[in-house]
Amino acid sequence: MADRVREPYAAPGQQREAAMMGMYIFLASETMLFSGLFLVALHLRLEHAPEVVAASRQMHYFIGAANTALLLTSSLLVALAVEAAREGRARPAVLATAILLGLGFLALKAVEYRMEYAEGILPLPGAVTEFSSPARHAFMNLYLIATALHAVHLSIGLGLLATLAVRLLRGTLPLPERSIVMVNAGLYWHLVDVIWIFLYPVFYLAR
Amino acid sequence: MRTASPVVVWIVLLALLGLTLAASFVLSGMIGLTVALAVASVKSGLVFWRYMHLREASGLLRIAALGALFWVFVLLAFVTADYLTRGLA
Amino acid sequence: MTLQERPDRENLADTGLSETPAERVSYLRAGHTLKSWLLTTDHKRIAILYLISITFFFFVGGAAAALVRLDLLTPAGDLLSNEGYNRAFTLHGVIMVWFFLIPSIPNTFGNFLLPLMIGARDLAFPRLNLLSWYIFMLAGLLTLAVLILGGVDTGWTFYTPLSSMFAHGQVVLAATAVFVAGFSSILTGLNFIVTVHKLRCPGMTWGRLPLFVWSIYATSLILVLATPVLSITLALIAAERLFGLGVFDPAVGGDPLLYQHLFWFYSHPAVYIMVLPALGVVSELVAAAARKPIFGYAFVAGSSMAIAVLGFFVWGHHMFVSGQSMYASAVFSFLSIAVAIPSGVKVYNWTATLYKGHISLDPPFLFAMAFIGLFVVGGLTGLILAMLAVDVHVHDTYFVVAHFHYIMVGGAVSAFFGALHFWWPKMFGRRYSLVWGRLSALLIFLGFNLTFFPQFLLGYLGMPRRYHVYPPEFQVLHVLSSAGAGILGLAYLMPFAYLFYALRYGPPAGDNPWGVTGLEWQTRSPPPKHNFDAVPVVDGPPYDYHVEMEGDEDG
Repeated sequence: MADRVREPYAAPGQQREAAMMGMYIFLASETMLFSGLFLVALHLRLEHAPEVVAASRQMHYFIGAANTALLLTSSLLVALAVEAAREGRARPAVLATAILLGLGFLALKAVEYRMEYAEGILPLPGAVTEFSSPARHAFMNLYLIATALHAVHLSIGLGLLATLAVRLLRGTLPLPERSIVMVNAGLYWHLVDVIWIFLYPVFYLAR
Repeated sequence: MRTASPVVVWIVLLALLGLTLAASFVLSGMIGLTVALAVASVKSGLVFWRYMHLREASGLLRIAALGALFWVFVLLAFVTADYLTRGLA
Repeated sequence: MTLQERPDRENLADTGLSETPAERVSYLRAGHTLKSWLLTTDHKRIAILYLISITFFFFVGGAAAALVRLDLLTPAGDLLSNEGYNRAFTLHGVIMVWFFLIPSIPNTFGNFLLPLMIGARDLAFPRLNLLSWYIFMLAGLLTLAVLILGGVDTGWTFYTPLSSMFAHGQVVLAATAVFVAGFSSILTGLNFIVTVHKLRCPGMTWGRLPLFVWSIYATSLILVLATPVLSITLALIAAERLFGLGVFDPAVGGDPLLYQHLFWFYSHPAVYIMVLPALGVVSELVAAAARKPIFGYAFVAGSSMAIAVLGFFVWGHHMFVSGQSMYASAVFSFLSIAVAIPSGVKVYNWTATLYKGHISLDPPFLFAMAFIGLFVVGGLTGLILAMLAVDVHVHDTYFVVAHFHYIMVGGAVSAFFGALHFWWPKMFGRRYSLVWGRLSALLIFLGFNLTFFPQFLLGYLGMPRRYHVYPPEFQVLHVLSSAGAGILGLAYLMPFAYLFYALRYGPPAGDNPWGVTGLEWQTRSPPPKHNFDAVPVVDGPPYDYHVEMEGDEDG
């Protein structure tokens, strides 16, 4: 792994570790971003437990589980593609499959939103909604904000992965020298996965 | 290979997903919440450890990756403490 | 894996070093086009870009403050309408906090000095550094848009439900501006942390880092960990205001106090984002002025880290009268008082450093002295405010306003000017007039005290903050404060005259005009684009001044 060393670094190991550390710290800031949403969720659960449980029971938890499985599988594929890249092998097809699974997540999410909209529990602007208690409304507000923010992050991740898949196909990403780019994009993708791992029980499985 | 391959980790992750879903039918209340969050933590730990390279990373990188958890805890714990002690005599 | 040493230290043509002779002379000569500035990845040039930007915002925020102080000259608030007054103080707060104080020392002097002080060629991610400036400028443009489109009147705290349901004006745009500025903060903090960890030159151990680097490191931790919480909080406010997705709205079971928890989880540590770099600057200035090793180096460095961490445990002291649980209040009160310990460590150690030093009364030192005095007053009144029982009485009065201006303006801004006067010769290679420098330090100190000391009295007597109509008996103190603000405003303008004059007519500074230690003084003034011709090697402790002992030949 003889990385091309750029200013201001002196050695390849130093450069690689700095790049990964930068990404980990960025992901730490993303964790803090979502922690605000989890705090609101915790507050609702503590103050309005029966309403939150009732609202959560209404969610399509099997769709949520399917989406979790999709993301976990895409994470596996990204991990495999990264591992291959570090050994100098380009695996654009593996990456493309991971992207398809990510798109599948978004599609399924859209279907789910649509069902919730039809049931009158998705508080989109202008939507006709009906909630049996105010706290259920707050819970669905938070659900919409959190899942939408997660979807934004997922889309950014998809953009990153797509760029890399194209570069792998064209052979413009020298491997294993620049495998750090793959590693860092993978780290981002996995964190998006981890956030969903927590969003899923918090919104779908409150009992 | 000395440690679990990514595929094995994936199988464990899916099993844990099944577990947390199953648990949600049985458990409720604070116990249910605790179990759900514990399973989520284990899943995230696996992702961090195996997929996000912490297994092979230096101590510095591990701290950089996981240090924020302490601050998340501070935020959640202090605010929760406020809510739980409001209105006590 | 072949570990190759790069750049080759013998060969100046190696790509690791600057390419052109002009770049080797100084970073200022490396290109004179606008493009060479706007597309630079040189940390020193980016520091200058920040310096220009934040100076601009300092005067925009200052203009808003001038309006506020003019309006407060008469008890009836004759100058501004009620809404106009609300908008003036909101704009003053938003701009001064997020567009001057938070980026002030870290993004200018931190950017310029951090790589120089640790013997690096640049920050860890030079292009990210430039991106961070562009994001900051985008946020700045959004703020100016807020100003042009009619302003915002929620106060800088954006408290809900005022901000989400009742306030008029550009709340969402202002929140967006702060949100965007937050990204700039996060990226800068990340860059600094990785730089300190990965790019220290040989021999630059943690125990040899200059204290300014320690304080910037501690600040960066807060930037990275606290800023995202503000971002999500502002996003939640925007979601409630724009789309009706309320989570703080009591009508749907939300709690406005939860907003305050989230806001202050960021905004109290943000106070330390503003003052920690100032503490680092003053440590440098004190050691330089006394020509002595800093007293208790490890404690001064450790206290920066302690303040950064402890600062996360005290946010509840902003909520003593808000309806927070009184048990939580008591805990927050105790923890807030604990912050006095590391702060006190710093002040005592500076004093001990100065003891028996060869003190030179140069402008940077005068600013440092002003800082220490004002910081002590601000800190001790902070201790008063941290007391639960006392705070209930003076909460939301001018006492609080005076307290935090002593820390932020008397403290952080004085340190900013001290840094400007200390490192100006290094940044631009020119000396300025020391006489004028001393005069402006003196005027800033006097003007500041005349402005803000009366506000302690006003607050103690019961004048609430954010009101512009007040009982006539408060007028004398308000007029004194406004008169002080006039002096302060003029005093802040003075350095621009003689520093700009020095840019063109000042005598060359030489590499080390103050005769002090530190890697940044061992390279040329202004430094070459690649900072050091040879990678420096550190073989001694920081602040390694010769100390005369009893019995010395010339002692």
